[in-house]
Amino acid sequence: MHREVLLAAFAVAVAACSVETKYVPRTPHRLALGMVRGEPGVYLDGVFMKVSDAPFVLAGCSATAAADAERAATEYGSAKTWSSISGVAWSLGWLVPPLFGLGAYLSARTDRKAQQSYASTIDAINRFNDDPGCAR
Amino acid sequence: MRWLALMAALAGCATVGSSFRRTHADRNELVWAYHGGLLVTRGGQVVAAQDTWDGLPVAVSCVPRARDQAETAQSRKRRGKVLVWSGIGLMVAAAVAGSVLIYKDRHNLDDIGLGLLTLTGGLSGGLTMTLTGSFMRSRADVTAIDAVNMFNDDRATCTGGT
Repeated sequence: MHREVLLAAFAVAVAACSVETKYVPRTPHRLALGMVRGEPGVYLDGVFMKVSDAPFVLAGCSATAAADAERAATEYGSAKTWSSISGVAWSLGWLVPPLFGLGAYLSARTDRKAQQSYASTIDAINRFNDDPGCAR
Repeated sequence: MRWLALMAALAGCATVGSSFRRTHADRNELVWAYHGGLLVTRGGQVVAAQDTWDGLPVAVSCVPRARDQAETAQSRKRRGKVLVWSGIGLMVAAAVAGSVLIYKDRHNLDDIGLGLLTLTGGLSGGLTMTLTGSFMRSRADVTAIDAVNMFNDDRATCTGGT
């Protein structure tokens, strides 16, 4: 039984890892949306950056785009934290059923933080691509 | 109305959206937006949305490999949705049928055994379907992102709009 559970967990982990963009955009000096393991990110000049790494790179060209990326990174980090807490609540719900309610609330909060992270990533991309100074 | 919006925001129900609108995009470029989900826009008009990706194959039709990716995304999204809802339906049906069998006659061990089998089989089958469907929907989203990136890279080869 333990073997099946481990195999199922392994399959889920492998499946989660394969949720990522495969095509590498090649238009120079333009930001494009990407995703690795569910985390939003950007491609710039053929290099993928997770949203948590993007602010440092974008700051050299567009301060407002960097600020959006910074916000996206903070929100994504927050979503990951809420996701872990909600996972604990769901697991403990089997022992204390009212915790299922807390788990549902925290899952909704996680989802909202993840959405905010995507919205901020999109803003960062659009600000950067609209800034004539960044097109070089 | 303002109070309703404030209450929705406090409850965490207000729609999350991107705020910046491009002003220097060329007329053929596909631009991302976000409003409760990813949106693909062209010239300020939404051409496809994350909930179905319908419209994306047409929007990228002049770049064949982008169109193929967009069609794959659309199809994965549909199949994912069917699997998720079928899985949920199977779990609910198994919970109801299993409970009826278990509680109908609490002295009949055959019915109780069959009820437990129905319950566990239906729940695990339904959960597997739901997880597979969710995974398929996520794959659809990254495939759609690839399609948009391919199109934007190669859109210079398009003549006469899309």
